[in-house]
Amino acid sequence: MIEPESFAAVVLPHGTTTVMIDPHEIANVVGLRGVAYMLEASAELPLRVLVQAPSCCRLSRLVTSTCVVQARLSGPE
Amino acid sequence: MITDRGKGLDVCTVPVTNGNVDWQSDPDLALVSVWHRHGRNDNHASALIAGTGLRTGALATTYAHDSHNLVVIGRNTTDMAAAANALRSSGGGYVAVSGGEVLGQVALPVAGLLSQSSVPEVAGEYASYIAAANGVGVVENPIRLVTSLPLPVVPNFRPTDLGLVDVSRQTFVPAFEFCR
Repeated sequence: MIEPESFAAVVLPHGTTTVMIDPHEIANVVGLRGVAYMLEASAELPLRVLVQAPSCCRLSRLVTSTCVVQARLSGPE
Repeated sequence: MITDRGKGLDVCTVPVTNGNVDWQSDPDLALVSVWHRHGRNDNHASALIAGTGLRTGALATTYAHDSHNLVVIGRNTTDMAAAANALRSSGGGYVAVSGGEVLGQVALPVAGLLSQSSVPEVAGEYASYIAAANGVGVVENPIRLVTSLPLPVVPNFRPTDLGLVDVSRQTFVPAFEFCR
């Protein structure tokens, strides 16, 4: 609910130097643009932010969301 | 109607007056309306919900898992529209409205999800929303009420912009059925 810069400002003084984040909330609203925003907004911070691929995007067929993330799974033929 | 904040579903009979479903005559009922808000379409759907505590006015948010559509819960449609329009003005967030007046709100203008303010400032805004929601009757976690209600992958009955979802069956159930 806050931008990465504001988040870094409150967690760093408590000793948290690295976070892993799942940008699925913003990806559900604005798609890959949201993921790009999280990467850019986190890039220059003194906090190390590891951004994973959105975990639930698209969430369900029973609701409208804006999601363009698709995984191509490889496995045994 | 939805009960127990989305965990249950029950049936109630409400009168139809002058062509309108008169749910407001039951003080335990509120209307929940979910509107798609990312520009894919104009979908919206509504259902009744019981037991929220809401006595008057409306609560609304754009932070509504996981698709973050616009969720409005209200005791009257005028305040519901005022709440939705307040969020349009702020770019999203949380708002509590009564008598057409914004009583408390949180502005989350980045995608309707993130604040551009510092943590102490955001905390102050949340305190204003919570106090306002408490004032209109929602005393139990007014953030979770609007934010978790539409998540259609947790039990059991969840409103989305497409309708009322029966989560365990992964299908829609009618929010309203007419009887004579």
